[in-house]
Amino acid sequence: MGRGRIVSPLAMACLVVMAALAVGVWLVIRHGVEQQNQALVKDDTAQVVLLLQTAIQTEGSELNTVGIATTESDDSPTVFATQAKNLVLSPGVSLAAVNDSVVPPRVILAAGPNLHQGEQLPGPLAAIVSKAGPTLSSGPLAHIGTKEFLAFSKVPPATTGRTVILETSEIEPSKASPNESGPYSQLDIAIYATPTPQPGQLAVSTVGLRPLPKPTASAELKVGALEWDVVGAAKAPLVGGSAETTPWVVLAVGLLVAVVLAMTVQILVRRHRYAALMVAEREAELSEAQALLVRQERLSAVGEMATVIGHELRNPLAAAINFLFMARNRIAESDPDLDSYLSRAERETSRAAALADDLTSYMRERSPDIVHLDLRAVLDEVLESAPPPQQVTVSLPEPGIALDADKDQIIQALVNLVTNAYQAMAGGGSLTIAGSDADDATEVTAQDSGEGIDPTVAGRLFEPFVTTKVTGTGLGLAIVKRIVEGHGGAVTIDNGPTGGAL
Amino acid sequence: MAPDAQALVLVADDNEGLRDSTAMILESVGYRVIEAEDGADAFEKVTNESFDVAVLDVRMPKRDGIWLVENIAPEPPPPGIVLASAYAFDQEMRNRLGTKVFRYLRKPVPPTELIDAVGQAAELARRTRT
Repeated sequence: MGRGRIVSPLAMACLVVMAALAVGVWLVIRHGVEQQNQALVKDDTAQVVLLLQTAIQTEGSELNTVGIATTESDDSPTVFATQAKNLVLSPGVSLAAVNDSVVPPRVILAAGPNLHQGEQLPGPLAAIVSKAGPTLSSGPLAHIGTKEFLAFSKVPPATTGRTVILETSEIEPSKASPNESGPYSQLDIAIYATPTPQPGQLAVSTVGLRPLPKPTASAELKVGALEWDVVGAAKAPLVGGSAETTPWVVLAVGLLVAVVLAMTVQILVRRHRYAALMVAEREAELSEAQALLVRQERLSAVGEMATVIGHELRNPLAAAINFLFMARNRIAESDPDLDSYLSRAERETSRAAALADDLTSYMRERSPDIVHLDLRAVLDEVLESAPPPQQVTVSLPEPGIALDADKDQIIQALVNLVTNAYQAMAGGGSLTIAGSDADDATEVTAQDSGEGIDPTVAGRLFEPFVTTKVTGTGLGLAIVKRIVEGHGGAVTIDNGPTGGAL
Repeated sequence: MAPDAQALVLVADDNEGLRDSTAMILESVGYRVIEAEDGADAFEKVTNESFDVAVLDVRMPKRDGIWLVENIAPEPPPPGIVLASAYAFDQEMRNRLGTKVFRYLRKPVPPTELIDAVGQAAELARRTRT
C-alpha cells in the first residue's frame, strides 16, 4: 500500500491550477484596489491643493490690504502696525514694508520676530523682493543663518511708490507637522517650494523628512508665477479596510479551496486505486477458485468414472474367475502345463480384481468423519480384516493410546500398511506396531523385519502406481498417504538395514 | 461335497456370464439351480417356489437385492440369503437387514468361498424347516 501515500498527479495538478487561479484573482483584485486607492489619493490631493490655492489668494489679498494702507499713509508706522497686527499672530511670521529702490533693499517698517526696521535684506529675501509684482510672488526657500524661511512678496496695486510688502514664515521642514484632525487628516501631505519634489525645497510635511508612503499623488500649486508641488499620500488605504482585505481573503479562500479540492481528489484517486486493487484481487481469487472448481470437477468426474469402472469390472472379473474354476474342475490333473496356465490366469484375474478394488478406494475421496478411538481397538479390527500369515508375528501397543480419526478410513489405511508389511516378509518375520499420543496428534509406527525398501523407489513409494511388488497395484500406500493427509497428518518412510518402517 | 445336494438355489444376477458361471459352479457340486435375470424375475420365482438358498446380486434392474431381502415373505420360512455386490456393504445397510441376510460377499467371490457360504446357508435352511 506504499503507493497510496504518493500524491497523485491529478491531485497535484488540481492544487497547482487552483492555487494559480487564486493567486491570479488575488493579483487582479489587489491591482484594482490599488488603482482605486491611487485615484482617491489623487482626488483628495487635488482638493488639498484647491484649499491651499484659496489660502494663497487670501494671503495675497491680505498683503494687498497692508500694502495699500501703508502706501496711502505714506508709510505710517501706526497704520502698518495696525494692519500687520493680525497677520503676525501666527508664530514665526514676520511682515515688512521694503524699499526696493535701493540695493540691497531696505526694511522701512517691520512686524514679527524675524524682520527689523532699517535692516538690509539678506540675499535670498532680496531676490524674492526683486521679483515682486502685482501678483503674489514667492521663491525658493530662503536659508538665512540656521533658519529657513518661506517668503512672499507683493507690490500693492495702484500705488506709485516702490514699497514692496514682504512676509516671511519661519519653517522647520525636518519637524513633522501632524494633521491629526481637520479636513484631509486622512492624508499625509508634503509641500515643496519647487515644481518637482526636491528634498532641499521641502517647505512643510506632515511626516517630517521621511518619504511619504506609497501610493502618492502630486498636484501643482500656483504661487504667483511660480509652481509648487504638493504631494499627498493616504495614511491608511482610502478604499477602506474591507476593500483592502478582500484580495487577501480571496487569496486565502482560494488557496484553501485548492488544498481541499486537491485532498478530495487525492482521496478519490486513492479510493479508486484501492477499489481497482480490490477488484483485481477479487478477480484473481475468483478465477483461482474457478480454476480449482474446474480441477475438482474434473478430478471428481475422473474419480467417479474410475469408481464406476472399478465396480463394473468386478462382474466380468467374477465371471472369469468362476469360469476358470469350472475349467480347472474339468481338466485332467495329469496335465501340468494346462494347470499352470490356469493358475496364472487365475492370479492375473485376481490381480485385476484387486486393482479394481484399490482404484475404487483411491478414488473414493471424502472428508474424514473424526471420532475418538483407541489405537489398540482399531488395530485389533485391522488384524481381523488382515490376519497375519502363519510365519509372521505381530506385536501391538497396549490399549490407552487415543486416536481421533475416521474409523473406516484409518482401518483401511492400517490394513494397507500391515498388508504391505506382510508382503515384505514373504519368508516370515515380525511386525511391530507402536503408538504414542500427544495433545493433538497420534504417531503410529509399523516396523517389519522384511527385506527393506528399494532405495530407488523409496522416495516415490506413496505415489499412485509405484510398487516394488510383482503383483502389487501400486495404490495401497497411495491410499494410506491420502487418508493420513486427509486427517492433517503425514506419513514417512525410514528404511533401516533390516526391514522398513513406516 | 455339498451338505445338502438336493437343495434348491436361486441365483439372481443381471450379468449373464456371472449368473451362468455361478449356477454352473453350484450345479457342479450337486445343487439344483434356478436362475433369475433381474429383481422382478427373482421375486416372482422366490414367491412361487420354495428355495433353500438365494444368491442375490444387490444391483439389478427392476428390483434390487435389498428390496428383495426386505420383501420376501417370512412364511413359509424364506431361503437362506447370500448377498453379493461389487460395492462395499456399509454398516448401516447391515444393521437394517439384520438376520435376514445369512452372508455378505464382495465380488469377485472366490468360488470356494461361494460354495462354502451356500453350503452353510442350505444347512441352516434345512435345520430351520425341520
